[in-house]
Amino acid sequence: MEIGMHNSNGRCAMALGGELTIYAAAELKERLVGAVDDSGEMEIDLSNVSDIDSAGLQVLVLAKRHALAAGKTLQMVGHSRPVMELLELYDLAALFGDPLVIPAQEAGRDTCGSKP
Amino acid sequence: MNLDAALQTYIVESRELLLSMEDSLLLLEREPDNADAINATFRAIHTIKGSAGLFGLDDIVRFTHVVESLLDRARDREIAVDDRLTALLLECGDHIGHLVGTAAGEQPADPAALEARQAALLERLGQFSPAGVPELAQSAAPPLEREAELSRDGGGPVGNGSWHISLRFGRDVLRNGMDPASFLRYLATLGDVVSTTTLCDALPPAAEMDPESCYLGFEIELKSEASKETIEGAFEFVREDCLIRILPPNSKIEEFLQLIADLPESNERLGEILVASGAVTQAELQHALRTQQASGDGKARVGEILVDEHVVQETVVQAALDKQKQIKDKRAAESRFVRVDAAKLEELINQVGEMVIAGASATLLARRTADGALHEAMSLMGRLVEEIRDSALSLRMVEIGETFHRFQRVVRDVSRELGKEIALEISGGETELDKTVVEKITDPLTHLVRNSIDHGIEPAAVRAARGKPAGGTIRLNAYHESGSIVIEVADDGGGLDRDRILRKAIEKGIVAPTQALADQEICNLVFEPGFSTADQVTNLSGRGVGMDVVRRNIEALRGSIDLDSRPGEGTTFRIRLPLTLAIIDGFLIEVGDASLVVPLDMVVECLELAETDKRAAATRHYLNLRGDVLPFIRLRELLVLEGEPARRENVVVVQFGGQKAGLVVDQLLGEFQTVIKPLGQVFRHLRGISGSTILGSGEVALILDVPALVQQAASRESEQTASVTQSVRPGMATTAIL
Repeated sequence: MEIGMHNSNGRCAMALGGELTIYAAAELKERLVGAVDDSGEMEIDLSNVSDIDSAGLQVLVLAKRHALAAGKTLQMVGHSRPVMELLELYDLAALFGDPLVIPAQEAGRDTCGSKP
Repeated sequence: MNLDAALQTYIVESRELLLSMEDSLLLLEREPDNADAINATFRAIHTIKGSAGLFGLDDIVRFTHVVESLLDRARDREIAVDDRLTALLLECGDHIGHLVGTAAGEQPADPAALEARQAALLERLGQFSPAGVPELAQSAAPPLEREAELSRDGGGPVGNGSWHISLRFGRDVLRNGMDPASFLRYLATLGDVVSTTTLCDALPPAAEMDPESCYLGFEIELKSEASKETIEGAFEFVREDCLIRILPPNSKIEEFLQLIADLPESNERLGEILVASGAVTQAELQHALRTQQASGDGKARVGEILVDEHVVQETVVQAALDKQKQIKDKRAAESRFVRVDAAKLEELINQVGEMVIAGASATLLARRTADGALHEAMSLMGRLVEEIRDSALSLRMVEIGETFHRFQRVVRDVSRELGKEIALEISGGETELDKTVVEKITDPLTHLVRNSIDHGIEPAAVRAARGKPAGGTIRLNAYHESGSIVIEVADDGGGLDRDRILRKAIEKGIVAPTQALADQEICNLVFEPGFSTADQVTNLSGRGVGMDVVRRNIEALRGSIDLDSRPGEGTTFRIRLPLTLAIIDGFLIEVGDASLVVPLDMVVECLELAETDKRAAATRHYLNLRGDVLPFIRLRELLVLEGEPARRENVVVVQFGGQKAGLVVDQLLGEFQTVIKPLGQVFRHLRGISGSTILGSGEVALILDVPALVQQAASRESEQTASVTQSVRPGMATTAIL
């Protein structure tokens, strides 16, 4: 798993990449929850996620809920194909409330060029 | 398991099923909407087919399969039940009976005819099928169980509903290396996932959440043809720590209900019934059983647990419960009966017979001693022997109702053939008689019933002219009367035409033209050999089996037959038969040195022959019994016994068929259990004696044929009083018998 973060004015832009699986779930949870706690608004870029399993998704759900509970905003953008697939399978898109675009792989990468 | 014995059982059961099917069909004919009757018919055929498959009786399977398919559609109201259908099904039932007979090793009389009949029936069955002939072609191929299932599904294809699957994954699923996502993906291969709802409610606040635990739950709608078992199989590896509920779609419920109804009746447990139908899987059942055990008090029922846990709908459980009850009832009925080889029963009764004789001998010896204790012991044993004898005999007693019931079909068939509308009324069906008698009485009864339909009941036009209802009635009735069973076959037809009978009898030389006969005697002429009044020989009667054969058959059973006929009102045939053929309660009497036995049931009373009567008896053969005329017979004269009459003579009053007569004897020796030994062939034509028995002392005693004696006494008495010409009439010999 790769995590990139960029903070400015209480707004956090995070980029996740690699495998969001059970092996990284503990670390992911810690970083995500910490980030939500530290910032008022947050955007997570998922365009480089190469693999995600239920454990990873569960942490994303947790983060979203955690943010909502604290009255903060958490957005996910640039869902990569594996993320999209899992969301579809679980029919969870509505929970996150993020606009889902079906981008071409390259387009996905280009939209949020927030790679550190 | 002995396959031969099993096959025998199959054959017996199939025949019973065919009989019950016939009943249902006859009921359907009257009440075409009777769903129970259709179901019963279907079940009978279904069972016959299923069991035939077990024995590899392909002929039966092939034919019954076509009938079953047809019935299945009748059951679903796809085809209307009408006369044409029931008539066809009745014939099919007969044909299956022949096929079963062939399977039992009977050689069909005409194999070609059997095949031709099958082909004709199949063609007629085909006319009911929607596709017409194609069904026929299909039936020619070996039937596949699959086929039947498909057609069943065809009635209500699964599609208007989806499986509902509830999943709550266990906490450790992820840690164990399994991902709920993969299960969902697999489900998608089984069918069409209509909707998935992921539940994250179990997800705790961030601080408490263990990222490696699974908190997910799913509610899934799956459209699939897969069985519950298959769907459950998807969760094979996570079953242990997950909560899985698979609810069948509503359309599937119908199927389960159907399957439950069609289950062979081998499972007695509710859970097993549900599992067998596929409504509940083995794992679900195990779980429910564990829950039941855990609840401890044992009050929770498996069915309730299953419904509470949303494993299965309540309607399905209800159907399974009904099925369970049905099985239990059947089990109960089955366990109430034991099939016993008739030969074994015969042996038992013979042994009991020997025991009765041996017991009598022991009693006799005991009487010679003055040992009071021995007397007491012997009398106790005598009572027990008597009870054993009665129980042994009652083993062979069967109700006549079943035999009567078969005539529904005879009446239906024959009346249709003749275009007469005739109803059969049955009463006294619970009357019991010896099984061997029942078997032998069927043929004579059939003849009488056919005769009543053919000759008794007038055509509708004649009935209308006589002011009778257009539909005729035949009544079968049975009752017990003094040790005999009486079977009546009555019709409300035109009665016997006495003039024609007399004319015919004279024509055939049975009676002399000058002979004066009472009405009753004229009527009884129909039982004479060579007598037939049928002006036109119909398909039914005139088959060379006349009333004389009926009478001979009945007399062979130590019975008798007579008839009552009222012009314009109808005719009643009355058959009297002994209840059993083996052992009777006898009344032992002595004339000179000879011991004789009168069946105790026929003894009304005993009295001393008064001096006045004795004197009068020299000139007349009747005495005054409390104001009634009682014809009597001196057994000493009748049997031509040596020796002077005893100083004090006794009269045994016997009764048969409503007539009484007195038998004058020397001594009354009392009751005596009698094992009837048939007389040898040499004495077959002896009248007045019906058999012999062995006394305790080893002496032989003859058993008197009371019916013949009563008849003789009555006829001699009436002859004398009426001074009728002395010409000897057939069947009414008036001279000494021995």
